[in-house]
Amino acid sequence: MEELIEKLKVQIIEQLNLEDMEPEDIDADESLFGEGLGLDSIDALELIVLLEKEYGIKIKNPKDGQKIFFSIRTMAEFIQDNQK
Amino acid sequence: MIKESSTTVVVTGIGIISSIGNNLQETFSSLVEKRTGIGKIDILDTIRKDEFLLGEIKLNHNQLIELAEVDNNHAWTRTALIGIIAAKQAIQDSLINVNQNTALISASTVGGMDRSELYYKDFLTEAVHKDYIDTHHAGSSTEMIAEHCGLNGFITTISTACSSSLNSIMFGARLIKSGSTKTAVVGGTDALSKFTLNGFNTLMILDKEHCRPFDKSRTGLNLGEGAAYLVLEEKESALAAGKKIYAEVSGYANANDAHHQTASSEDGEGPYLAMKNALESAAIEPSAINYINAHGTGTGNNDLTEGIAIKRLFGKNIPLFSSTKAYTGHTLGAAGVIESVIAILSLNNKLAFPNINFKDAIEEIDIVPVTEVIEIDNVRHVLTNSFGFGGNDSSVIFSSKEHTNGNYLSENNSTPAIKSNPVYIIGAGCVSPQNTLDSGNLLEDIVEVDDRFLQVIKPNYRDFINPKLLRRMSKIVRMGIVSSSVAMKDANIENPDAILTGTGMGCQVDTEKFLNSMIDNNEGLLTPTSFIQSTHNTVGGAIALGKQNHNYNLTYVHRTFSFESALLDSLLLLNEGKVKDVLLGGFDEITEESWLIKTKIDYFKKNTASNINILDDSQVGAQAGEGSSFFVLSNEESNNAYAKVIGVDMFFRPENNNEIEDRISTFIKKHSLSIDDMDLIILGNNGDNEFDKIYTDVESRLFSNNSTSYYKHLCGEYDTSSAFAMWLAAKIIKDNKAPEIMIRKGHPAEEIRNVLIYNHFRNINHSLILLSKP
Repeated sequence: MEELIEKLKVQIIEQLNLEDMEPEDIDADESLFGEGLGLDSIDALELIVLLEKEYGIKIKNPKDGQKIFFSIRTMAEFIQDNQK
Repeated sequence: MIKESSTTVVVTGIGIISSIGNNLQETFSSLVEKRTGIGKIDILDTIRKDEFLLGEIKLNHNQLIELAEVDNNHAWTRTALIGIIAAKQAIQDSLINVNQNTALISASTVGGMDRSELYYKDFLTEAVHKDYIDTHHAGSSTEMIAEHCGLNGFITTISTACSSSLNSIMFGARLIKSGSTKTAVVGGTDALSKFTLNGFNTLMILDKEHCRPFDKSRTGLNLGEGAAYLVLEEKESALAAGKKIYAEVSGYANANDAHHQTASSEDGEGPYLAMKNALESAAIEPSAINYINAHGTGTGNNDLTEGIAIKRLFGKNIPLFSSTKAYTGHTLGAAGVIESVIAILSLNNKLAFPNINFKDAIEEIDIVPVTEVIEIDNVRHVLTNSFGFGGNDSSVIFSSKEHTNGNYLSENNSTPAIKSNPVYIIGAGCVSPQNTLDSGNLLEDIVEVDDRFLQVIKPNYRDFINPKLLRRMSKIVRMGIVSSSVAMKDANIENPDAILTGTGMGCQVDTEKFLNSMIDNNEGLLTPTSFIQSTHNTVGGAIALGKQNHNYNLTYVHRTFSFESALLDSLLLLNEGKVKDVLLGGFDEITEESWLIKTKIDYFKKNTASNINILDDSQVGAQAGEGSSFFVLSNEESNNAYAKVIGVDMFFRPENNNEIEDRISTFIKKHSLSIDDMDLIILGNNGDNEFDKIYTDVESRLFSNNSTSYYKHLCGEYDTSSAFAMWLAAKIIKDNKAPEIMIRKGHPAEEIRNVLIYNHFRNINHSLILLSKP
């Protein structure tokens, strides 16, 4: 799990072009949207493609993203539950 | 405040082609018979054929060539072909004689993308299809329409995403009101492309079923394609000529939502302001509107916001309304004018057309559109909406020709004609390949390079832009924001009354990124960021968003007319007395690929060259460049004013050098000056010997007694480089000193009072800008 979380941090920084960020700057439990990292709906769509590209998981309804992308940890949990 | 001119603008011709008909009659029949044009994909060659529905015109390339009655050896894009078909119908319908007084204002979002996406990889290698390289830019379809229909008056192109063609109607009407032209063909064209289909798919706002605007169960839009044009004329002359009049263009407005790049705000501020200001411009009360053709795309976000805005404006008395996108699909840049035609059909036939596929109202707003073809009694005023990415929102009102003034508020009548107000440059900012960002002394340290193309000196973007926002911004957006911030700071203004931008090629970095990954991954695994950033109005939208600016915001995209058109619109706005100041900018970015592609058609030099000695370089083509220059223009002369803007003029494909010289002389005379009054001429020589010859000829025949100069060795050739020239001219007038590095011949007068900029692109698009000492 922790390994997946670290990998996700790197992938998110790259996918979203978060130029100033290092993986250690992101707290796995911090909220990705709003107050936390400050991502928005376009980033959510980018993350949906990341899940498909890197983990082969397809999300059909963008509204499902709200729960899945709450934090890096929720994302990692979702990947673990849905992979294979 | 100066009131608007008393000229009334009327529609005297209509042409239209879309998935619901190849002409006006077929369009009307489909509307009345509730026949949708949306269905399975037959024409567009995409892997998503069985996944989505589209509103296609069911004619292939060759069939369109036949319908347009054009020569099949030419490199036509689908966008241009449907544009020609619709424009030709409109011109024939209105029986106008096309002549120099007829302007063409067109609109498009993706221009020639329908061919570019087929041949792009080939452009980069062998360039077998190289005739299509120059049909890519958004103004290309406009030029093909102008040439094919014999229109040789003023032409330009607007691109503000999905509101584009409402803005071209508005600009055409304003040109007529200002007296700049008597007749204008206005509208837009957009063909379906894999680029837009896949782009909207990344945003997850495409419905796989038939779209259901304003319905509770709506899940997205269906894309469509089409073109439509209106012929606009002065009412007096149309009546005198005994013309058939479809409607008056009685009100219009553009406002910015300034909320998000693609999503609309919760309170619908942009749509609300667009409708409200359009009503004010028509001088009618909300209750006078009899029907609204809504934007109504069928996305969760748009329909809710538009409904909220309608409720805010109309309260409990919401007029009959419907979205007709379930008929045509969302035709993007053409949507505004296609729906204007439908609104005019409503007005003329006293009918409201249904919002097909509607069943249940959206709970939050609980408003119900028209669901059957119904008669409207006493219909006088109809309103149509178009909203686009970058928060660009427009509304236009058409009124029946019979309406009396009784319905109008009193102040609109018998207003005086527009008088000419002086316009001053009160702030300027420039990012370029030279040290222009904080230039104490103009061009003191010249940057000399020996390279394939010139690139801007990167500012420290973080000094100007929140690092979080930087993540999505490509070079063009960054330099646009920096130079506009500098200009506003220089002018000491917080927020301008209008934002006008020009760009020839737009956001090339993002367009290339999306196009390449779409082709490389066979339409799979695409992400939205580069798609949404690729719209031409991204910079104007980003400035509005950053400043929370809800004002008029337009982007012109017509090659080397782009900046000049934005300047012309600025002068109109300031003369109409509706604004105090305007933020005006011109920008283009160079990329490795766009440079390479244009070397294939000899536009750009293939090998390195020294910029300082560019005029002596023997390679074909120009040295490419890039940059962004912004200005604050105002009616009020400040102590720090740089210069007065005397005028701008553009002309398309002159017959010979005599015509060029005539146009230049007439332009100077029109402003009560003589050629001898020109203390400095700034010419656009760029090292492309074949076309530099025109400058040399004009210089020796017309400007033999004047001091002349050039500038493209400093910035390179790009479509909006005239903005850089205007930045130089403004500085030169203010400093009363012209840098030696620019001078071609002679010495400017002791007092530099008048500076003329003359630029042309390969003898196609010629432009003049005249500045004077305040």
